[in-house]
This record gives sequence, C-alpha cells and structure tokens, in this order.
Amino acid sequence: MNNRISELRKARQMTQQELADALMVTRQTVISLENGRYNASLLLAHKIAVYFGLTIEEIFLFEEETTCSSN
Amino acid sequence: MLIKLISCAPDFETTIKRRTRLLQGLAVLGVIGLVCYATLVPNSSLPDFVQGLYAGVSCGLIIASAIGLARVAWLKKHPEAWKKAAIQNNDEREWAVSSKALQTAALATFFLSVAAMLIVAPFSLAAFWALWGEMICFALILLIAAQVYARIL
Repeated sequence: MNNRISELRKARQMTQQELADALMVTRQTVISLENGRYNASLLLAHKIAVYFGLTIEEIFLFEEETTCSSN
Repeated sequence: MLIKLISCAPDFETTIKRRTRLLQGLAVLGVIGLVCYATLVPNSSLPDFVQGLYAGVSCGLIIASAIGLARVAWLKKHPEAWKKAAIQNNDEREWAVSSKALQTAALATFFLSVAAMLIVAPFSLAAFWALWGEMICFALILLIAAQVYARIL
C-alpha cells in the first residue's frame, strides 16, 4: 500500500520528528510509513488523516493485493 | 521486551504501575532465592553448579529489578524522558516489532526443542521427557490462547 505521507509532510515543511511528535509515534514509525515498509493501523491512519485534514483514501492509496485468501 | 509485553496497558501511567509491581515481584523472587541459597542449599546434596545457579539467578533477578525500578524512578523525575518513553511504549510499530519477535522466538524455541529432544533421547530420558512436556505445554497454551482470542477478537 502506497501513501502520500512524505509528500504531505514536505508540503508542510515538517521534519519527520515533528510529524512523529504530532502523531505521538516514534520517528522510526514515520520513516517506515513513508517507505511503505509498515502499514498503519486504522487508528493511526485516521489520526494521520485528521492531522492533514484529508480523508484516509486521499492519503493511503489502496491497491488490490493478491493473497492466498483473496484468490 | 517481555516485561514490556506483560505490563502493557492502554495508558503509560498504568503500564508503569504494572511494571513497578512486576519488578518488585521479581525482586521478591530474587530474595526468596537468596534465602533458599543461604538456608536450604548448604544442607542439600546439590552439585556445586546448581548451588551456584541459585545464587546467580537470585542476584541476577535482584540486580535486574533494581535497575528497572531505578529507571522508573528516573522517568518520574524527568517529564521529557517520560513523554518519550510513553510514545515509544504506545507506538504501534514498536508493538508490531515486539509481537513479530515473540512469534519468531516461540517458533524457533518449539522447533529447537524438537531437535533437542531427538538429540538428547539416547543420552538422558529425563531431559527427553522434560522437552516433551515443554512441547505439550506449548501446544496446549497455543490451542487455549487461540480459543480465547477467537472469542475476544
């Protein structure tokens, strides 16, 4: 799942640490989210959406994933 | 990490209270171990290394809990460090990492126990049955936990 967190953060001229403090998560979590290595929970995704004043769908770009259960 | 997983709570204040109680419990265990070492062990026929194990584990528990309690006391006096620790404690990625690490450790322990059981069987039946019991316990806990979580989640 891709997301626009990095783009939105840069547009607001924020550092990863500032965003992490605002979301009450560690900087490492912000880095992992931006790199797409970690998928946020619904709760964190909502927190991020509220922070940027957007909807979850506008930040997180869902893609159809092929998994064993979805075949 | 284990203490973190055991003492988890929705808010950091409760987590710290639980952690403090857990550390105090560990310290009491250490003291009990030392009392046993001082009173019961000298009159027993235990081999030297087992006697040493009593003293070592007991001292280890006391030192580890003392360090943990000192850290808690330090956190309470430093609001900035407290805030940082709270964020780290409640961070969902940190939980995911701990959870994954615990899963990996549990699986590795299980399969290593199977290997150890096959290796030690010709040398020690007691060790074989101890490992067998450990694996049965693991499987039972896994089944019970799956049933419980299936109802909760």
